[in-house]
Amino acid sequence: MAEPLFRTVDVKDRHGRVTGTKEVALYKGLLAKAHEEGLSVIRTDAIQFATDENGRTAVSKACITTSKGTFEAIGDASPENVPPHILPHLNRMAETRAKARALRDAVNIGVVSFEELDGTTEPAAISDLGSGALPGNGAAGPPKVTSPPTNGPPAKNGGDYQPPMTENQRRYLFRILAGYGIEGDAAHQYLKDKLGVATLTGVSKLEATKLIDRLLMKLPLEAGRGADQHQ
Amino acid sequence: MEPISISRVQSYLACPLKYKFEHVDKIPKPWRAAALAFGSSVHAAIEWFQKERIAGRTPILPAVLSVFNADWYAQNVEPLVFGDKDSKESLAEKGRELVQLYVEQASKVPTAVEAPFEVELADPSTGEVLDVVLRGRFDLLEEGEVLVDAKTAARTLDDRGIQQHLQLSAYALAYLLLYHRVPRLRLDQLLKTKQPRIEKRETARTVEDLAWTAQLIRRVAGSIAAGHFYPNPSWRCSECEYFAHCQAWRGE
Repeated sequence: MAEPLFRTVDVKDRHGRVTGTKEVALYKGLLAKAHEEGLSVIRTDAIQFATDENGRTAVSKACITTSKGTFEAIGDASPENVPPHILPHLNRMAETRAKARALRDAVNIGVVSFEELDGTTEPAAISDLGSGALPGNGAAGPPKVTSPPTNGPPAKNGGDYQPPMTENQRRYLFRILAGYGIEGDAAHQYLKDKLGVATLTGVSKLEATKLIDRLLMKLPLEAGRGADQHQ
Repeated sequence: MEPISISRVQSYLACPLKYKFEHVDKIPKPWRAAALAFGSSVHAAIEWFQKERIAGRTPILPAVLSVFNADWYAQNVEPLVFGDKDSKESLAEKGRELVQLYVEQASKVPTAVEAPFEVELADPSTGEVLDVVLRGRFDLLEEGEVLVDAKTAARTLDDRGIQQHLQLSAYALAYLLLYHRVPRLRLDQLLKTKQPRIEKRETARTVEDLAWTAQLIRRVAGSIAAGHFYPNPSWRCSECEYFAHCQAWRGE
């Protein structure tokens, strides 16, 4: 029997009230359609595992090859964009999201997939979250769907919402820079210059994570200040 | 059920409605209290200092102070709300004094700092499994199974306050469940009094004390899961970040 490609899910506000419905693509359906179109390769690479140092943000890249060509996509998962029951499985969720996005490109489906949503939804009968997801999950939990949290900055480039840099990330960046001897206003200016922003308010969590990683890679071990406290 | 931390338990006990605004509705706080930020900055510095010692290094005082300075600067990038007697500069000065005292008084090298734990909660007096996972970090562990919690405070806790210190009890409970021994406990109070000082107070818990703590955590976790959120009017309301939301609350 052919796998369904789409399903309708309830969209709820933060109080749990249903405010509408939304059609989403399903991983199983995307995968089946990709097979129909000559799927030959699915490769995933973990770009970043979720750790305390990076704000528990996992990032994966997926590469899908069908008869139409090769398609790549990135997927991320962090405590801000997954429902609570997925929290122990951030690495696998990032992988599933990357695959789902690459599959959508490969089979030319513009509708966002269920697996890419930033929370659970409220389907009547939930689909499998895909090979990278927690077995048997998805049936419970309140929806958050597509709306960014109210405290987030506007989406950049009209694209996916990026959660903002956390307070702990900001503090960690300043502590790392202190290890370089860059302190106070000089550190503040350094960060604004490196991140290309007028104020640190608009920096995303992912951008902060990348900068932390870059700074730590250059830093002598003994100068890594205040690790494990910047999620 | 999602793991629960002791800070969330304390937050719920202080005011269930505030807990809902902060952790369920995730309403951004319109401002941050300087006292909390100050405690975090001092903590960041002493944590780094102790981690360096565990790694076999001996950080010099200026290096530890620079961690505090950097963290305090970062905390102030977004405005903080200061108490009547405090300012950015006065707290910076007190923070440096406390960090210096801490470094000067440090003796034993700890065996662990900020050690994360996650434990399935059970009543230690009966063995009853409570269907709650407690998550947290042991601030500091010293040789001889001494579990230390370091806290900045404006005034010292009396004996009763230390005996009822929920964070220490919860950590002792977690330690008992993980290692099957009741640890010795110590509260290091970094007092930001006019003349900053550090007071180290030892305390102890019995298995019965910890059974009480386990049941309390269980009930709080159950209340959160059941959505029991209501205001707890107290003196804290005048400094609550969600006061306006609370006033608009009508039982939903």
